[in-house]
Amino acid sequence: MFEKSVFTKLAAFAVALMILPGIAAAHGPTRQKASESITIDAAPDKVWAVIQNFGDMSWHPRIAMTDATKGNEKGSVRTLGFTSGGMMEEELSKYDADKMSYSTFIGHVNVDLLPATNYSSTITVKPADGGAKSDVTWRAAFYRGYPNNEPPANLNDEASVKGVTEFITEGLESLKNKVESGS
Amino acid sequence: MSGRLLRLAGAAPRRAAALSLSALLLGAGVSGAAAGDVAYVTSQEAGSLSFVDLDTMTVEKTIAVPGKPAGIAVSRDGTRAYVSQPDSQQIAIVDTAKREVVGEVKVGGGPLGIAVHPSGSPVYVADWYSHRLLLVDPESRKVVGDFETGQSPSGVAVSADGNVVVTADRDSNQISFFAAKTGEVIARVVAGERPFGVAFSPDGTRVYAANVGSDSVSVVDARGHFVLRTVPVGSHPYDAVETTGKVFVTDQYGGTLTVFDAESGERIGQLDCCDYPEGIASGSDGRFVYVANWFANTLLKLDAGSLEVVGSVDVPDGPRAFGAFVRAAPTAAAK
Repeated sequence: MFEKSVFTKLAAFAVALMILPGIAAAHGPTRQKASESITIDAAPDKVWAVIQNFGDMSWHPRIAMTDATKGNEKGSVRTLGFTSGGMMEEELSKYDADKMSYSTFIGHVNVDLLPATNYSSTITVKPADGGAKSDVTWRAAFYRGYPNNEPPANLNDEASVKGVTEFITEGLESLKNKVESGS
Repeated sequence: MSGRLLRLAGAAPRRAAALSLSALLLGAGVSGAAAGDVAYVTSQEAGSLSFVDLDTMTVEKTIAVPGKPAGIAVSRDGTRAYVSQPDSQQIAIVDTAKREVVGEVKVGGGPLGIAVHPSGSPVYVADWYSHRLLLVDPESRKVVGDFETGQSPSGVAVSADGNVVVTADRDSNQISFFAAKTGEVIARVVAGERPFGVAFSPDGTRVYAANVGSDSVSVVDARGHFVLRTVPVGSHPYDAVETTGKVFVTDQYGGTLTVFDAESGERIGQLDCCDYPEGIASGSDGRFVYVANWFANTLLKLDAGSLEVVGSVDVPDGPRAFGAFVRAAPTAAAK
C-alpha cells in the first residue's frame, strides 16, 4: 500500500496536503494484482526457448523492438519499444532457467502504454499433461497509474487491473500462437 | 477481479484442502485442549479480518472490516484486537472471544501501523499523514494524546516491558524512540532508506527496521540507540521478526524470506517460499514463523528450526497482517 511511492509522488502528496489540510482524506493507493495463465500445446522447453532471452520480447504483439544491456543477468535492463510508439525500461530482477521463470520490475511506467506504476511481474513455464504441454503463468503486481487521491477514470485501480490484464493476455495468446504454429 | 484471482490461486487450494482435511481429523481428537495461537490476518482488498487457528492452520472465522484494513495489534491477554483502516480513517476494536467488531474510533489522517501497550492501553496508531503517533484509549474510544514522529510513520512497536515505543518514520529514514509514558523523545536513529516495519528482539535489546528502499535491515541497539549493523536482505523488505536466535525478513518483491543470525548478522539462508510476503510474526513458543503472502492469498507456517514450510491456509484477498498479528487465544475463548 504505502511502501513504495517514489519521491515525486510523496512531494505531490505533501503539496496536496498543504493545500487541502481539511481533506487529508483517504490514504494513498493500494497495490493491485493481475495474473493470467494459458496452456500451450508444446513441451516446456519449446515454450521457454521463445521467451528465455530477456532481450527479446518480440513474442509480444505490442513490442516492436527490445534491447537488453546485460542479457539474462540479474540487473539487466531492457528497453521496450512499443508498436504504438513510446518506450519503457524494464529491469530483470530474478532469472531462474532451471525453473523456467524470470521476474521483472518497471519503476517508471509510461502510463500511456500501461496504466500502472511500480510494476513488477513474473513469467513461469511449467509442464502440463505429463510434460507434453505447458502452462505459462504471467503475474504482475502494481499500483494504479495515478498515485494521488481522486484518480481520473483512466488511471484508477480498476483501469490499472484492466490495462495490465490486457497486456498480459495479449502476450500469452500471442506466445501460444507463435509456439503452436511453429513460427 | 476475484474470478481471476481464484484462477491464479489454482495450485494452492489443493494443498489447502488436504491440510484442512487433516485439520478436521485432528480437530476431532484435540477439542478441549489448551487454546493455542491465533493469527489475526487483515486482508486489504477483501476488507476483512480472518481468525486463523495456527495449530490446525484453518480459518475459523472471517469478519468484514472495511476501509482497506492493514495494521493489526492484539492485546497481551489476547482479548482485544485493533485494526487500522486507512481508507476510512479509523481503527476497529475487535472482541476476540466473540470475534466481532465492538467499536470504532475515528482518528483521521492515514492510520497505518498499530500497536498496543502491554497493559492494554493505550493503543498506538501511526498516522501516515499528520506525522504523529496517536494514543487511543480503547475504553473511552478517543484519541487522548500524540507523539511527534518523523515523516510518514509506518511501523510501530512497544517494548515488552512497556517502557519504550518505537516508530519507523519512513520518509525521514529514521527510527524514533519514545518514552511510552511521557512521549519524551529518547532518540532519533538514522536507518536505511524508507524503513517500514519495526520489531523488538524478544530480549528487548535490539530493534529491527526493514528498509524498503535500500533492501536491508537496520539492527539498532535498543539501549544505546545506535545502528549495530545493516544487513542486506532481498528486494523491498517489509517487516522482520526475531525468534530462536534468527531474524526472518519478508522480501516483498524478492518473493523470499531472508534469514540471518541475530547476534552476528550473518546470513543463514534466503528461502524461495513466498509471493510478495508481507506481515510476519512468530508464535508463542517461538518455534514457528507465520507469513502473510500478499499475492498468493495465503498464510504460511514455517518451522524456525528446519526453515521448512510446514503449513499453508488460504485467506481472503490481499493479506497484509502488518504488525504483531499472532497471540495465544484468549482463555475466555477456549472452546
